[in-house]
Amino acid sequence: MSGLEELPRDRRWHQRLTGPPWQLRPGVSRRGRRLLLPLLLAAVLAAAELAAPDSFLTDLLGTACIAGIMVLSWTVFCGPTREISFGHAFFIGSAGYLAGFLQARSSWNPWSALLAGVGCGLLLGAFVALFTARHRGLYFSMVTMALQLTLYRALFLRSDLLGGEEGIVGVRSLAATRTGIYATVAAALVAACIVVDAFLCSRTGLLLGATGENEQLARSLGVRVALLRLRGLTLAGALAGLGGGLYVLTQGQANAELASEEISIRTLLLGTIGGLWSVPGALLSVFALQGVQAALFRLTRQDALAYTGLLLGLVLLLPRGLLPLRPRWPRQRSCPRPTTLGPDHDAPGLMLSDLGVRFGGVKALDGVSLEVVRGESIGLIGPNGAGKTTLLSVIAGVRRAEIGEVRWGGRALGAMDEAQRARLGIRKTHQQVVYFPQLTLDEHLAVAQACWQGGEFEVDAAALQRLAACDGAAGEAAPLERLPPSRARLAEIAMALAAPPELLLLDEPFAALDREEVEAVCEAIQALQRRGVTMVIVEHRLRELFRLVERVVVMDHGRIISRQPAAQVLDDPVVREAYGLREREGNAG
Amino acid sequence: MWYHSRNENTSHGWEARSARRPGDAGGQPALSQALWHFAELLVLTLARGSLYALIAIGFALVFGAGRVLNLFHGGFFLAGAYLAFFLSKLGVPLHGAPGRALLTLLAAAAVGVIGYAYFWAVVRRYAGRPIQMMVIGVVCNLLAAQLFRATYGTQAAYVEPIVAGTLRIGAARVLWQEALVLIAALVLFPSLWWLLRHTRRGAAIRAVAQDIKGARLVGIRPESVLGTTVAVSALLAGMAGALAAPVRVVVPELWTFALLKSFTIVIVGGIGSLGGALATAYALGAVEIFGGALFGEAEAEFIAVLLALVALAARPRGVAGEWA
Amino acid sequence: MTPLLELLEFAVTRLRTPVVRGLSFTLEPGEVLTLVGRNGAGKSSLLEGIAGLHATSGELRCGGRPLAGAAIPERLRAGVVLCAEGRSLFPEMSLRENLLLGGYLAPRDAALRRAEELLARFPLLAERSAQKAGSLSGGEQQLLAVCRALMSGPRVLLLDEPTGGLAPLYRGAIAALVREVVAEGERSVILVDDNLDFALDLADRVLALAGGREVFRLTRSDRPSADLILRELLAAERRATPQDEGRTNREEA
Repeated sequence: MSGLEELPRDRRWHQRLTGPPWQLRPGVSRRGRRLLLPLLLAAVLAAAELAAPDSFLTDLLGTACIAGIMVLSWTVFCGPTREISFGHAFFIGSAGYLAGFLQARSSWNPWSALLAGVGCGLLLGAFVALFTARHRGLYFSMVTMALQLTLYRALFLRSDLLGGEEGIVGVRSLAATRTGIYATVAAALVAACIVVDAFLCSRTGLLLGATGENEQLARSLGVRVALLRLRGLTLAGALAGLGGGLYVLTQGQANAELASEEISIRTLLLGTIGGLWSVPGALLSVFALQGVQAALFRLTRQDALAYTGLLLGLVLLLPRGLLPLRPRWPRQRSCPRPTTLGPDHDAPGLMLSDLGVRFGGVKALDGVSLEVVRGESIGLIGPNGAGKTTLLSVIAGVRRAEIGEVRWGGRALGAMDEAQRARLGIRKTHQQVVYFPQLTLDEHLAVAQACWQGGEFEVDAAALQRLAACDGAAGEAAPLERLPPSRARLAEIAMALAAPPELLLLDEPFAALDREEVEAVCEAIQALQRRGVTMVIVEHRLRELFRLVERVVVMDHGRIISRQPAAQVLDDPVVREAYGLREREGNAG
Repeated sequence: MWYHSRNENTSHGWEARSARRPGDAGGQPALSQALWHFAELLVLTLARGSLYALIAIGFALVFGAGRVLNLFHGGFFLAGAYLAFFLSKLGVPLHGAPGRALLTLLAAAAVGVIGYAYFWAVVRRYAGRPIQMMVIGVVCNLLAAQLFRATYGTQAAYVEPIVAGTLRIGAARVLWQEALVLIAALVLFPSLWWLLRHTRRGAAIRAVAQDIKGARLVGIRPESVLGTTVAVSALLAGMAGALAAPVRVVVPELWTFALLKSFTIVIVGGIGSLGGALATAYALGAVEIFGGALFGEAEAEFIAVLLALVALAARPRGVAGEWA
Repeated sequence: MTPLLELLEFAVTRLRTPVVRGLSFTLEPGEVLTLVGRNGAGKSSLLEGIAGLHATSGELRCGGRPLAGAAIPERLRAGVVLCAEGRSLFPEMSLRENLLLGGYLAPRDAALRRAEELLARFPLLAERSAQKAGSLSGGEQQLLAVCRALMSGPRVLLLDEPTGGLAPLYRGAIAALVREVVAEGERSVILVDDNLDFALDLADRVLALAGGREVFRLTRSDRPSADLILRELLAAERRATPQDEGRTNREEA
């Protein structure tokens, strides 16, 4: 589910960047700024208690705090992944009922019961992550909804045990006084806010966001999607469990409404109205709308109608939500986890033996064997439909070869998928324009570096600067979806530069670029070559290609028809025939 | 009495008034009694399945034609039920079975108009933004429910059936109104099929679902096609609502029932697959009716969602996969 | 004689990026114009822009009728029809239904009559008229796509990659069809095809694009060959890129 929403109209969406964009920005002040929101929240909640202790206001805020925890638990997973959970009441209800049951029926200490509720949510989150490993988009929504319905129905199956519609009553509260209850839920909300913000801003949060933007591209960078989703959903489940547990352990009862679609829908609405991927937005929508609801209740008898009308107005007029402030990620210059020291020049390189792929009856690859030693760059040319892109896809693991073998560094890659190969240092750029629509160029680089497994290194700042400067400095802070597609192509090269792979497969890196951009890409490729990156470059613009490679391999009809040093390739009669060149190029140059 | 007031045990305020009525065949031998009972359940299954299919087929149609998930669909069903109720209360001088049938049609047509208005005001503008479209749909449902609550209040509305009483076939007995749903489906689905196959507009709808670029290139305007499908889907859902109103409890929360059922049916059946949606609708009817007879209503509902989960676990892209 | 199609300072924008800029040419009746250029030069975008799939600027006239900014049905009625790359058939519909949809804007009986004519002309297709389009072979699909475009009675037929992945048999059939379209001297064709021999064989004129701009034109009297085109394109690129010293000139050594 990427690029679903309309382009942002709101300028606030972009954080203003200061200083030259390609210098390292220290991350120190960021943590301080991130604590602002929880501090502000704590201050407001405390002020309310001081101003009007044990009042209607604090009761109202207490309810909003619990709702806020539920909405944050929705935001923490659904925000970055853009998945719409339709059944958050599954977590909330299960945890709430468990906590209530343990307290009221088994006489647990309320705090232990709360902990059990959180644990229950956590486990269910992990369960949903495993269940929905292959479900995306609407199918994910459907699974969550069905789980919620299952729970809801189950509550009525064991009315004797769970009390049916009425639920479990007489649950002992977490605190004896109104002030105690208020303090508990307020503290829980502030804590949840800190945790959610920390998660969203973390490396995991960034990669999860990238997955939501473009899962295919994220996989090709080596992102472990299943693991990220597991982490996100586990946290979401635990927080929802906290919300459900707190609700039951402060209200004194767990009723079936807690597991109904009403809760799911309310959570979903508050989460999206605030701004899908925005913690401040979620909090704002919860508190503001709770306040509005209470005010309307006093003002008019048709309060529910007025409130729903207001919601409709909000979703129609503010397509991106009240506060569409998503988290930001600075680029890092070096990786925090050094493991190896750059490419090993003595290790075996790329070995292809006898690869074969068929599309229908057509042989797209037919017995292709090739060796590329470490640090070498070769060009791969041939007429359209010769099988060049297919070959790159097979090496990168996007497509499986029916016969033959791909080896890298002496290791047979066999059934490894794209992400696994990316983690071995094999990366392929795309012929089409692929990118993370809402992320800025800087954040693309942050994603690439977050996937980086290699050791510390210096980014070639000059080459990167050159790439970034192609379009003027206009687009530094803009999401790529608002920039021309050529920027997205440059971003893919820039990602390779910011976190160099060991083997880079470039599929028509110059297509649809203008002269200045081509020069910048050439420079970036040369910078990577200096780092010892092995490359296979498919390109039609032979002139630029021959600047970059020593050796050229020519393909036609799925076979390699010629291997030549770049300088001589156009003299080869076989090549000339494949290209339809019958005589020596005349007075060229 | 066939009906009772809102059963508090269900969140939808939704309880079939005719759920369990074993055949009245006291003097007959046990085998024949069981057979008649089975036949009765079969007819009930077909009636329930037809109702679900009426609701869900439009949902699938709109998704196919515009890749739009119209969650306001539940509101169409609700509007159908309430309009049937309002029309019958207005004291329109239409009496007897034909008059009441006409009122039902009128209610369905009115919902069709509402559907087109919804397309004009909302779908047209937000079709390219699925998440927002979903949220707007949900809010519109809530608003519709509140509107009806504001105009009539929370208590259940009672609508007179088109034909009162029960239909007896041998020892099997079915409410006439339920049989009418089945009859409506028998008329509507073949005609829908015919319209899709043999009319210009129908061809355009299928063309847009199968290749939108190709459709544009031959001169079809996808937007107007989408408008038609939203109106048709509203009409069908409204019809379902109006037909179901006399045998069901009409409460403002009814939209969740319709939406959850159609969402389940369409997603499990495979998004955009009309055949998959039809099959799933009747399968769901069978599970609910037979499960209800064997284990009880609540258990049957539980089994139905559990089966939907199992189906989704086994086929993550739906039973029939993608249509277009 | 008035030109059939006129473009003046025509530009196409896709995804906020200009992909065709400042293009002016005219197309005479009975003429085949072949567009050449590398991948991404803007050939397909130009055809799609003329057909009305993308935002355009500048003037576009067909038979004197201004079409800039017109909706697709209006362009179809004026006689501008695109047979798109990748065919864009309706895979779940029968061959016959696909054909009839080509005449979506025409009266029903006219469309039926034209479909019968086309089926009679291509027994290959007539045999399979009840088969689903998705189950046809690539060549049959392509032939069907061209026939579907002919259903609306085009005056300007825009063919994008009509021989992509086709066996020679079908390539011949499509070439014959193109010749037939222009034979009476009333209709014309703009052709884009990767198979240069095929495209040049049919061409009366050649227009070369690079980076969305015109780089040169050739007429039949220039006797355009694949070799000539490639050489000219390379030369044009060289003119566009200033020479770097030494290291860049390997291929000319």
